[in-house]
Amino acid sequence: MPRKIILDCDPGHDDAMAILLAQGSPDIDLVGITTVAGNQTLDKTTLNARRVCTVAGITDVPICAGCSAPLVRPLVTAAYIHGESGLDGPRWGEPTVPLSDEHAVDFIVRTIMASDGDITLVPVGPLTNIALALRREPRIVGKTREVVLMGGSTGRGNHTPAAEFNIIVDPEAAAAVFSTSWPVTMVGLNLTHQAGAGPDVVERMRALGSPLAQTVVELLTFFGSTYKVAEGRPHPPVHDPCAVARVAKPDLVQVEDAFVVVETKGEWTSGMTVTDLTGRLGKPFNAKVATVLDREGFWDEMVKAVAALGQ
Amino acid sequence: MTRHLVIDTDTASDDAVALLMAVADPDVEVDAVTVVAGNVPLDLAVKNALFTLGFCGAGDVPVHRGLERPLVRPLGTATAVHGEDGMGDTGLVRAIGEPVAEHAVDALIRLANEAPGQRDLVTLGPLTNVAVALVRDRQLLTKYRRTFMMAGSPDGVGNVTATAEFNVWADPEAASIVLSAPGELTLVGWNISRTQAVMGPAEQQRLMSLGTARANFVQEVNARVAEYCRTVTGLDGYDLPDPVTMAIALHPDLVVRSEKLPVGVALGDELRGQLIIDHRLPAQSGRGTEVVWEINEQGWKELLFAACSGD
Repeated sequence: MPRKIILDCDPGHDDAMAILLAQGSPDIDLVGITTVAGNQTLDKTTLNARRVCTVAGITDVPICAGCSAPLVRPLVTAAYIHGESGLDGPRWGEPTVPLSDEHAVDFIVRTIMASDGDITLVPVGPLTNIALALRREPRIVGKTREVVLMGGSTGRGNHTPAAEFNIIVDPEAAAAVFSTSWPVTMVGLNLTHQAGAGPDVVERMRALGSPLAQTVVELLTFFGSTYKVAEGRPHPPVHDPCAVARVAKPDLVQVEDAFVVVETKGEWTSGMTVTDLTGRLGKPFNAKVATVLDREGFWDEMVKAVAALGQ
Repeated sequence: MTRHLVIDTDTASDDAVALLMAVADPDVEVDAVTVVAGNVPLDLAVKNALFTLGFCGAGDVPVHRGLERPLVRPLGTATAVHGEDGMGDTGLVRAIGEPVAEHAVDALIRLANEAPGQRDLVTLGPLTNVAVALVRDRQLLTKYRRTFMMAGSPDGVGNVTATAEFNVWADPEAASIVLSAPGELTLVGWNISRTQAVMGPAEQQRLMSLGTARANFVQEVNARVAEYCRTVTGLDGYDLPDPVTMAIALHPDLVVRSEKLPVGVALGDELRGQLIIDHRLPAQSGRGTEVVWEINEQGWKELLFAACSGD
């Protein structure tokens, strides 16, 4: 049985890859895409979600726009990684897939409350929509199968030395998600940095030959160019689809139990996902944290998904 | 011309008196009451709102359930002030009626958009419902003619902590969102309640001499507040923050002196919920929140007595 997910995202190059994996994988039933401000402003991330769906022929998945700013703090974007459009690189035409009238928070609440408890939330952007859904309808906690999110890190950050981007954009929202008694899996930088899109990956995508695959090549090429400047990484880490992969094929991503808490007040460490793997803090473990990626297996799934959608 | 009000409330004793005043005003129609957790947990606040409206012969006003807890922080109630039932622990409140199905946040957004510029919003509790609605639509308050808020303590004298008033203390992040939103905002703080809205012995005597069920109701539900005033805030009688705010909403000409000032909220632990009001000239842009400094005390109390005179 394919696993039902709602993908909450802020496309974003790696978000685009997450959308493709979620729709292209036979192990995932993508019931909705919700967008949030993060990598770029909400209007841009929403437009980008529609662009990706249009290019990939994803016409049967509702797309709902969500929050345009974090709960408390002003919005910070990541144009230095994703460009001014949030999805620089390919030349995009006018998207043809429509935007739903429903707000993302309402969609999440309604869909989960109407479900049999079999929906997994996969947030791969700032957690604003998820936190608001939690406040709006606390009963979604018992009706959500699990939350598998891309964000945070068991170690170092990227936007600051301590904090990963999705968490530092809205630490208060992230704190709400981690402090809620639902099963949370954190797919953080420590894991996603193992998902570098090296030349081998780009060549495999190019070899698929479809227009969609060509778009993917252009996305990965732009992403690689900004990552090289920003972090000196030779191969850009394609973060977001790692969370989707964990749901599609759990064996691809090893996890460990841990206590995770989000620092919301630190002078230098705001947005840090403080991760206690050994129980030093004496707190009950509240999350699974991803630790080891089967890189070959992950890219096999990603290539298969792009191939399937490109036909 | 009939004024139209939407009232957001964490219904406990003084909220109940404010509701009574609103529905007693022949020139005012209360279009909806939206309820939020604050003085008491949400279920109790809803029960108190329904009972109060029923008691006042306004059982047809729709009551909407809202947020069960603040945006970021755990719920801290004020049952120490208002009693375990929020209504003076006098056993007065019975379960009457049911809330409508529509969520408070949806109602706040719909009522604004149905008739832009036609309705006034009066907030008597923590600002969680309004903040969540604002996250959905930053322009929300521009679609209310004016927003009157019982919120904060502009002179820095607090009731729940040394420097903070309860409504802002309870959900400071929400208050911060609301106070930075565009719209015409009027803030009635606890300074007004403390200095110009105390029901002293003579006024209580006059109230009781009315001999009406409404007068008895006002006196009874504030029994525990009187105790809190005697032992904590040091007031001679009981103060009525929400009713004085309602009086100003009903009759804005009761304001004797006010200033439009930038108002922020302290979010740190030490001064949580204290208002940050910038009086320095460079901060004055003409925009900001109307902060009420002085009112016609006799005038508003006459309104209260008049509202309690009928049955």
